[in-house]
Amino acid sequence: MTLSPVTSGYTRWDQSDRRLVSSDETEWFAGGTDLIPLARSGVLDLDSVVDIKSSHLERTVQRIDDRWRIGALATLSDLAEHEELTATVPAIAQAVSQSATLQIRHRATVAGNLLQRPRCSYFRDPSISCWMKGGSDCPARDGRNEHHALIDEPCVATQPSDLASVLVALDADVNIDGHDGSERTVPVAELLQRPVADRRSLHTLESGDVITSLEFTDPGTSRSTYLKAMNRAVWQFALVGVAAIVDIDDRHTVVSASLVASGVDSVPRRLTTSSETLTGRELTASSIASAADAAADGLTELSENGYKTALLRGLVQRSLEPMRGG
Amino acid sequence: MSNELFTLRVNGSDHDVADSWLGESLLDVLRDRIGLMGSKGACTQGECGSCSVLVDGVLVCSCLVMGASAVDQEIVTIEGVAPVGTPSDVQQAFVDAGAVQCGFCTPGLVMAVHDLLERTGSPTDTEIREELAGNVCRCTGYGRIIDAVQQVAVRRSSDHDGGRGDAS
Amino acid sequence: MTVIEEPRTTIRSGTIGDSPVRPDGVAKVQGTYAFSSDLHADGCLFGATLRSPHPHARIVAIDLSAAWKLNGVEAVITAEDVPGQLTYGLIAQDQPVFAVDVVRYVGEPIAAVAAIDPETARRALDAIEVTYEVLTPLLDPEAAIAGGHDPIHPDGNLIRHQHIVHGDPSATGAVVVEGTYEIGMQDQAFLGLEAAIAYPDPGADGVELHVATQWLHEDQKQIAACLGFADEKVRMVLGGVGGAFGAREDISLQVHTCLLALRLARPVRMAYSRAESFLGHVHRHPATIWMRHHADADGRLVNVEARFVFDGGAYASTSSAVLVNGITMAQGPYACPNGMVDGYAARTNHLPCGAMRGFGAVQACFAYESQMDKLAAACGVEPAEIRLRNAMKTGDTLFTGQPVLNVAPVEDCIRETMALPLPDEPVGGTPLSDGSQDAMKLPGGAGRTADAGDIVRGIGWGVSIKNLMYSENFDDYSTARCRLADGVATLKFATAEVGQGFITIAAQIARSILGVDEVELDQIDTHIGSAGSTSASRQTWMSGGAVDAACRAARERLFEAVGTAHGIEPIRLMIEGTDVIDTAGDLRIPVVEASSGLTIDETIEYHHPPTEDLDENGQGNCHTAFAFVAHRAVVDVDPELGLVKVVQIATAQDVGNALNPLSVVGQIEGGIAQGLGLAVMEEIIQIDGVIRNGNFTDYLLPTFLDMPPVLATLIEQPDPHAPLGAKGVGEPPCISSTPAVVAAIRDALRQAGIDAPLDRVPVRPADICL
Repeated sequence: MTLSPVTSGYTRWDQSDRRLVSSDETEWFAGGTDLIPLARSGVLDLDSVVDIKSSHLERTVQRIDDRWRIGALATLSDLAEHEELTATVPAIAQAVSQSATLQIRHRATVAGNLLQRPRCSYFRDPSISCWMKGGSDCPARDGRNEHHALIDEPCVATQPSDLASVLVALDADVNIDGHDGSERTVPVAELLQRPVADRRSLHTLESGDVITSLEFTDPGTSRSTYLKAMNRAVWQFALVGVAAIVDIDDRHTVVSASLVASGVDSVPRRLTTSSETLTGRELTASSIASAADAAADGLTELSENGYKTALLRGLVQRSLEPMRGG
Repeated sequence: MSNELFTLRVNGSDHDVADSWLGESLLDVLRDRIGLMGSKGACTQGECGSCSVLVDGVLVCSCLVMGASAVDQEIVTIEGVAPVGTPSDVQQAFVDAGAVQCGFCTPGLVMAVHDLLERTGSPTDTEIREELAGNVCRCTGYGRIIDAVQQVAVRRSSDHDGGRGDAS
Repeated sequence: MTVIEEPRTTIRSGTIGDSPVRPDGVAKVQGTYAFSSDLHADGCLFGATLRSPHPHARIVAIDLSAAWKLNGVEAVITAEDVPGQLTYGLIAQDQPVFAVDVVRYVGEPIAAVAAIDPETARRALDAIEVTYEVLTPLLDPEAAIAGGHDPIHPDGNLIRHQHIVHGDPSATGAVVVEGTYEIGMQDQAFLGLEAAIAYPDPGADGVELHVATQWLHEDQKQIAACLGFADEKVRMVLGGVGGAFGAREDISLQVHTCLLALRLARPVRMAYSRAESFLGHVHRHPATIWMRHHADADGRLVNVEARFVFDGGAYASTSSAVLVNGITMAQGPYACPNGMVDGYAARTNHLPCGAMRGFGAVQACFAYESQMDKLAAACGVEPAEIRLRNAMKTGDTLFTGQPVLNVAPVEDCIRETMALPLPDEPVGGTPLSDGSQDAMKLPGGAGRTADAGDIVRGIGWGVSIKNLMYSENFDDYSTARCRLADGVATLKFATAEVGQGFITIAAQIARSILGVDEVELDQIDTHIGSAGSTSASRQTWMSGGAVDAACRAARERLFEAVGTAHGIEPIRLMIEGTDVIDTAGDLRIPVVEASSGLTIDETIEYHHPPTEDLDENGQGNCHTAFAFVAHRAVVDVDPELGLVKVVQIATAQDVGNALNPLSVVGQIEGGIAQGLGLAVMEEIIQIDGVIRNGNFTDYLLPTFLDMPPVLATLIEQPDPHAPLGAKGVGEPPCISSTPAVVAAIRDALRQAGIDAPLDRVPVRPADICL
């Protein structure tokens, strides 16, 4: 690990032209709740940082017509405590209040939450080489993988964000202020991608790009929920989480269903078959069972994480069951 | 930012900080640069709450806040809760209720309990447990701490406009 | 030089049986209490340790040159710089200060540096180049026992083998139950990380070390040997201790800090990070235990056969004593005429293991209590009933042939626990006022994964026996000094206050014996004889006994002085409240007045009666005393997801005499939290000898929401062998709480139609839901 003096490496965003400070090695941060432990443990070298916490970026949470807009600097607590949002999309408040601790939720921003590095213990061990850190192999695939993804990929780390699954289920977008001056909007589902050999990261944001806000269409009468299995009562990254946004008409028929799982893939995993299974059918014990049975379609168990299939199935079923009737 | 220096406002006083490394947390700066040793580091990754402080009135883990980014914010540490020798009501209740054993988690818990009782005057057992779940104690099994919190809540609601002894 | 020192502390009220506040309480709640990690000296340097990345390797070369060249690096030392003994250890001195030629576990120290700041010290570590020849690690304790593997240490791969045969080991019963149980490696996870500061004497011919430890004098002896000093040249002062639980009984950074300070003739400070702490202290032994219980048709034990394998890791530490604790407790708190136990402590290239709260009894208890439940099921009786039928009584004999002479209220512990109410809360939790479920109280907690209908409730029992104090012919003692003058008693002892509250009860004892209000506590250091370790639930008995005896001796001097002044036989005098009174006359003088102008100064060494070594058949009176406890756990389980919520723990504990009931409750609740942690979440994972979860994100500790309410009854039957009638209370709570929780999970699963063995702790979701 090497650290530079604050005076030479620390910049507040609004104080300088981004192009002057930004390089591929520059770390951009707001809450910094992930950055500091990574630097302290030696996983990350910090040469220069850009602090956007006190920049002009928005922290507000607001509804404009049928679109919700969440400023990038809104904290997880801001979302958890927003009464109208919580009433409208309870899954968001559920996902963020199941994340971390009060102290961290107070500090961590929604944009930063989407851009966390893997929580894989091999990745976080500075003495271990792994594919994500530029190595050739993934030690988790044949090592300790009880917390890893149910995928057969070069890296089997999970996407650690709970909120991300809800946002993908909502088809949310992020607005990005690009490092080249452009502004663009991309779906969260495109922002968060499986890593590939020439982009070893859980996201596609380029260095110097800044998320300015999130947006999604108010789900109207759809019900939403987020359930998360953890090995203690609070504060563990999801063993498995399930976000469900389901629109049911007054004849109990599912108009649309969007199910997304955490903890099983290196992205928020859309449970496409399960969602399709439900759509157009009445929500019954039988259709829910079909959706639950299909949840693990396409997933691959590693040596120690097969139990996640059972959790995934159970959570899909439990996310839907309360939506029946009533 | 002036050369080799930034200034943090802690417990109402300004403290100049020289030679801080990038990535140095607010906890490190408080302890190693400013000499305020009351905030404790036990996990240094936000798991245990021993380093809890208020930044602009918000309870955070100081081990996860970059020191340099806390400029221009009001920081309150355990040293700012009450004068030495004159414990706050929460602090006194911890002592009286047997909520202190080794005491390493205690400063962070005192910060968290003051914060909790500011927001929720009469928390339920579940609310206490949920709100304080970011603070780990390895000695007590939490029972006497919950008792201390409940004692303060009852006492505050009975002395409806006084007896706070709380600077946070 | 600026040293943060605790001011002398005064306590003003509270005698034996009261619960006065801790003398260090206000300092701790205000953040002014100086933990060892808060110590600092002007001009001090910062030490750091280079550790092995390999579980087993030969060191081919160490190149320090690049580290020396860094600006701000003042010292770089290796084994070549150790002037005295190259190894240390509590029982066998088999652990190198710095690795010599070979490394035997991931994390073994190889070199240390001192630099002007911690960051420079870390860079210096990065600059040290070590060339290794990687060797095949020995990771399977059975392979170590079998003897097929080359020795990984000159002392061999077997740390200790001990056999116990009692009665007729071939005896059989109508009912036989059998099982193999595994206990994972638990971390003590004290919050206050290892830290020390060393001040070299001028001329560097001595050193003063301020450190958080459990046993100042044992540290002193081991450090002095490595430094090549006489013991008295190493002066030890207790730095504030942020919890211990066994992890501070062994040397960690003590010798390194002293070596650097002596080399540089400047104060040096060392402090571990959490990641380093996981590597830097010993852990609870992982164990595999096979047991076969024979009983008659009514479930009365006839014979217990057992085989214990403890994985000691790379160095011996206290493995041989942990082994003996485990195997001598194999029958549990139950009478049984016959037994045969075989026990092994193996050396492997895993992290070294040693003391943790419960010390071998924890592992044994998970096995024998799981067996007792199997026996209950096989005999068709309730779990509590099978335990009552077999409950040990005073005078019963252990497999070692040792009679249990202490108060042994096993039956009372069980019956008083049974008498505690079961939770009001219905299965699935109490609905909130709006009718919704309080999800936080359900399995899955904040994750909101369960509804009441998904939940089954189970109840489970655990009962245990724990030996108190040291065993096997160890001359165990503690020293205390009492000075009395002008109505103020000043106590001095070297007893490590680690949070348990000995300093509170020491003052209570002085007040009760001497009739004083004011008790001052002197600095805890080596300027007095040893107090022994703060471990083995022994300080209330041992140091409490020493303080009691010193205060009684001081009281005799006081009575002699009063008797002389008033022409009264001292034997007629006694203390009543805060007065000296004549039991046969009218004299009544306040102690303050009676002790005015006197300087009474009494130092006493308190020894417990000697114990014996075990012979080759494991026979001998090897233990000093015993304490007992019962636990009943109520859990709610979500079988489909494998998630568990402990709803309540009820317990009745044999405490002898509760000197400070609030402190006893604190020990009970805190110990149960650690037992719960082992039951459902805590385990250090090593893969190929490399720790995989050495941080608090991946090594989970119970939170406020994981701990249930505890209902506790104190069984107060003063033990005539104990100086104050008081038994140690620290360890029993964490011993049988673990099997009680697991038994409750099994009970719940049975009701859901699932027969899960759950023969390994911690129990994980996969053990339940698959």
